[in-house]
Amino acid sequence: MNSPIISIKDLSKSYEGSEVLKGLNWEIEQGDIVALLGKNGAGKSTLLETIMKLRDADKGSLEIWGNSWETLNQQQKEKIGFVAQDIKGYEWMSVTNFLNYLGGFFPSFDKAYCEQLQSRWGLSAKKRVGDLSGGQSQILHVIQALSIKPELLILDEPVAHLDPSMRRQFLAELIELSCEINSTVVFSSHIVSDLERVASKVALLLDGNIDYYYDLEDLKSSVAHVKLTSNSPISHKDFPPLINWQKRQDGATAKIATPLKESIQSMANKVGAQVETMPMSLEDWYLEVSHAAS
Amino acid sequence: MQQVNRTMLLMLTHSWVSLIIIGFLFVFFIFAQAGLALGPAPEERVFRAVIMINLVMSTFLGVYFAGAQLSLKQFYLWKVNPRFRTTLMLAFLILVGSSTLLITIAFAFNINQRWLFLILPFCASIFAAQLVLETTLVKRTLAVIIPIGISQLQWLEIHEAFYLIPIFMIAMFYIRRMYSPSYFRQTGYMDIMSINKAQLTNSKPKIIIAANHYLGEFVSRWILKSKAVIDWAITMPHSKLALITSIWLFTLIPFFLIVGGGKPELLESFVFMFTASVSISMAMESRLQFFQLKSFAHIFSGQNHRELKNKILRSVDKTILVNCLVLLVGSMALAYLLDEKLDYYLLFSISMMIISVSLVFSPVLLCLTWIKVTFSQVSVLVLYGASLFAIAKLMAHFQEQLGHSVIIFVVIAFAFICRQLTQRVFWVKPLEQLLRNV
Repeated sequence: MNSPIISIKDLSKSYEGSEVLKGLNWEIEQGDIVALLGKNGAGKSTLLETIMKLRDADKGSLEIWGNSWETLNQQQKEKIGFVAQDIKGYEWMSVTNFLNYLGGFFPSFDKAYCEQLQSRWGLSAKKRVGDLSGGQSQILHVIQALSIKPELLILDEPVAHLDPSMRRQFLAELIELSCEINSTVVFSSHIVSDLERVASKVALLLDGNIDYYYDLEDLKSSVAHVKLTSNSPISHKDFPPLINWQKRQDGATAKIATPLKESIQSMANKVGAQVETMPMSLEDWYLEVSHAAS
Repeated sequence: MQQVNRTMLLMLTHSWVSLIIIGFLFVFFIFAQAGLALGPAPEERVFRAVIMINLVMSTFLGVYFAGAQLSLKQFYLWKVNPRFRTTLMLAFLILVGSSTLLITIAFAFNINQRWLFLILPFCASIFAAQLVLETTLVKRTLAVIIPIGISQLQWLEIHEAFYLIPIFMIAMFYIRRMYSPSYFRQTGYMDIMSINKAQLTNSKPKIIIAANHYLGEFVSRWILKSKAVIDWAITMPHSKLALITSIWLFTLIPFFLIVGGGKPELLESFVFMFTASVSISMAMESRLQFFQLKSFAHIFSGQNHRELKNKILRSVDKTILVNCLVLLVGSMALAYLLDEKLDYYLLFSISMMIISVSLVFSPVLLCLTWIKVTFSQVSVLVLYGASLFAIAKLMAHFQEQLGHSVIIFVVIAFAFICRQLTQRVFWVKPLEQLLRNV
């Protein structure tokens, strides 16, 4: 197991009496590519901005490379790249001016690499920042964050303004580039299909907590629709890890939402039930667990 | 240091339009100072007038550089990287310091060895910067009112150190405060659109939210009925547009309190200058808000969105008229209170002509973009200035009241015809282009 690069304990954050993060615990390991999922308003941006110390937590602790923000040294801070969801300011600058100017604040800024990224993603150097579309602005800020070759890259909805074809390709390339420079990446999204090919781990923010945090491959191979049939009555208590339990005349239907420690077959054998499983997409998984939580 | 230099260059050039206007004003004020110094006016009065001129100039500079800093502060590094903050602050202070130093060099010849006054332009720039940077409207107002309040101690005939040193210390406090990572005001659509609790007041959020809700419900029945929502989206009665005139009046009052009576021509030129620039500032501000129409532009009828465009014109015209009239009436009241020997008829008639010319140009000004300098922008502004100059020349040529009345009639009638033409320019301008700020 790698050492945690980000370690969050008991983190809470409220806005005007409404608790958005409720004693959240989370650890992100070196080299992970983590997709943070959650509904609109679930608190994804709040969480990422709290990690970046752009918001102050009400309570709890947060460590990056084993240090709190207060003890993190300047060199460490400069190894973190961040792309915010709401991109504002700098409208009067050209793309090149913007990238070179902000790059000047990061010693690891690689100008040649930055130019390479610009041409790769077709961003005109002379265009004014204020003239860019929403998607182009996002690409610009991602280029800025990647050009500093960060060890930790935090992206808040980095592809929200891109069209579906561009979105998937851009995200895949972005993650590929991050891997090339050995970055640990945390990105938020509410579009499940985006992350299937790019993330190594998936975290789901539900009701102010990271309720689900799994290896993407483990999760994909585990989640399923389940149909249980039995002559004798069966109860949800016999299958505790299953969610969205629905009783039927001849048994029940339910969903497997997490990798199981004990196989569903062995649980069924104990009560003499028969199991039929059908694969479930990540999109369905997301809907099922969101439904279960609400 | 390279980053500081870069930042300074970016701050200096972030708005070419404003920079050019400030450049013109700078030259104008330097000449005005020289004119005052060489003129026959008593020494003390010249001294006060020169201070006031320099304070106005410093205020412009403070607001200009603070605007750039506010934009640069929007990047997340402001909150997490002390180096970024230091760079932005150093660049701001060097720019404000060096530009106010330029002012004080000219100023130094006119201050009769009262050297302490040399710190005033710098302090004024810092206070003016808070108008842009401060996080709430209350704090913005306080940043201006407190130093003005302290400066009133001058009337107690005490040594200037007793009020200038506290003013300087408050300026230092603001510089320290500006460096704080929490000293951060977000800009964006919400900032423009809504009168939110953080902008307006420090009262309990729930009370404000509830009050906004009930007031909004109450008012909406008329707003939605008459489609007066344009007023809210474009000219925003609750925003800075409505405050512009008040701020000008607010600068006029202390000016005349300090300079004293017996200078009606100064009051006149201030009124003319401000009235003439109202339409430009209104058009600039309103134009930047056009994007807010996107969500409801489709409900208006007419070819080329004629109904919508007429509503916009009416809204902007109304705002220009209200602001100009408030300024005119306020200035007349001020003159009356100060017992100035003002030619009220002349002031009123010239103002009316300036307003007419403003209304002629407002549709064209609304067609322009105000992010960068363009040839059409400069041409329109030059034409606007030339029209006002022509009116001034005409008025000077005919001294008697009858002649003035004829000129007023001719100018207003001619303005009415021209307005029909400029209105058409606005009508044919594609909505698509109007909704963009570039």
